[in-house]
Amino acid sequence: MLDCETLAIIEEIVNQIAGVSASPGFTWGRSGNLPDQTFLLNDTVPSNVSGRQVPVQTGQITTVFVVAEDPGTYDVRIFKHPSPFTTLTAVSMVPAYGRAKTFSLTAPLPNVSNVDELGAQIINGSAKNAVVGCIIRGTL
Amino acid sequence: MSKIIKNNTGSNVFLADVGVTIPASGQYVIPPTEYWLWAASSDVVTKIGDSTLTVNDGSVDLTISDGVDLVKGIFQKHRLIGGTDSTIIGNVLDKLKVHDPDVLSAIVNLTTNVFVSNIFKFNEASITSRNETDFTTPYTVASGKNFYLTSFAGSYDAQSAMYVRLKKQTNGSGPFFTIFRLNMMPGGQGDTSPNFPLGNGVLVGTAGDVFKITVESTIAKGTVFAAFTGAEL
Repeated sequence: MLDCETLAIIEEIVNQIAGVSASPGFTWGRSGNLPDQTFLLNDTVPSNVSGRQVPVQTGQITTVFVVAEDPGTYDVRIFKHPSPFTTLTAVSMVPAYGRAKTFSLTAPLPNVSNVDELGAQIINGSAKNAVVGCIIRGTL
Repeated sequence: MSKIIKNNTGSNVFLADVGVTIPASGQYVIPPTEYWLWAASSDVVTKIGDSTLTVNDGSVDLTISDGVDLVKGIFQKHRLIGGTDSTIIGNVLDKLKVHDPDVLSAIVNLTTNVFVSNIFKFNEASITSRNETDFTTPYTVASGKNFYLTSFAGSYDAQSAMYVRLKKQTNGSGPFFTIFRLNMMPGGQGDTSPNFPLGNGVLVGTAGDVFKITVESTIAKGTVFAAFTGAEL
C-alpha cells in the first residue's frame, strides 16, 4: 500500500518519462524572396502577428531545422511573444551548409512553457522560400 | 503585372501586419502567393498614402490611388507593353497608340484599295473648232497630296473622229503632255468607257501638278462630254 506522497512522486516520474513529447509540426515558412527582418508565417499568418502556442507545460527547444531554396548567409531566430519579442535562440546559415541544416542545440537549452507564443524571423541576411521548424521536448 | 513595393525613405520600413521590412531605399516584390495578405494590410495602405512607400507595377511607379488599388487587387488599368512613354490606357478618352509596323502596313494596304474619288472634273460643250482646245478648267493637286486617277471618259454625238486628251503639267510649269487619250470613233455615239484599266486608281500626280482635258475634232460639229475623276490623298 502506497501512501499519497509516494504516489505523487511516482506520478511525477511517470509524467517526466512518459510525458516527454516532441512537436515535429512546429514549423514556419514563407514564399518568395525574404529580405532581412522578414517574419515567417504560421500557416498563413505572420508569426509576429500571431505566434504558435507551445503545447507542453514546460519544455525546451532542442532542435531547429532550416531549409531554403538556395544556400545563403542569414540567421533564423526563434522568438516568443509579446512584442518586443524575446529571442529564445538563433541559428546561422552559411552557404557551406547548402540549402538545409538541422541544428541540435546545446545546453543551456531555451526554456518554453504553454503560455509562450513562438514565431520565427529571418535576420542578418536574406533567404528565399524558407521553411523553419523546431522540436520541443517537455512534459504535457 | 507585378506588385513591387518601393521604400522612398532612407530608413527601413516595417509593415507589421504582413511581417515584412522594406529595406531603406529598397524594394520588395510581393509573391503572388501573398497577394491576399497584402490586400488585407492596413499598414501598407497607410504607408502608401503618406508616400513612404510607392507601388510599382513592373513598368512604372503608380499614383497613391492606383498603387493602393493594385495592392488590393482592383487595379483595372493596362499599359502598352514595350511603350516608351508609359502611357496608361483605360480611362474615358484615352487613346491607343499603335506603332506596330505590321499594323501600319496593313492599314496602308487597306486604304490603298479603298480610294474615294473626291475630284470630279467635267464639261459638256459644242464643238466649234477643229483645233485642240481646253475643255475643263485646270485642276492643281493640293499641297502635300497625291492624285490617283480613277476614271477618264468621254462621249461625242457627231459621226466624226474626236480626240479627248487628259493632259498633265508637272509642278505647275512647262508644257502639258498627254497621259491618257480617248479616240471617239466615227459612226456612233463614241466611247463612254475608260480605255485604260485604272483599277482602284493610278498615281498620276503629286502636289503642284496640273491636269486638264482637251478636245480635238475633225469637224466643228456636235457636242462632247468628257470627265475625269480621282482621289486626292
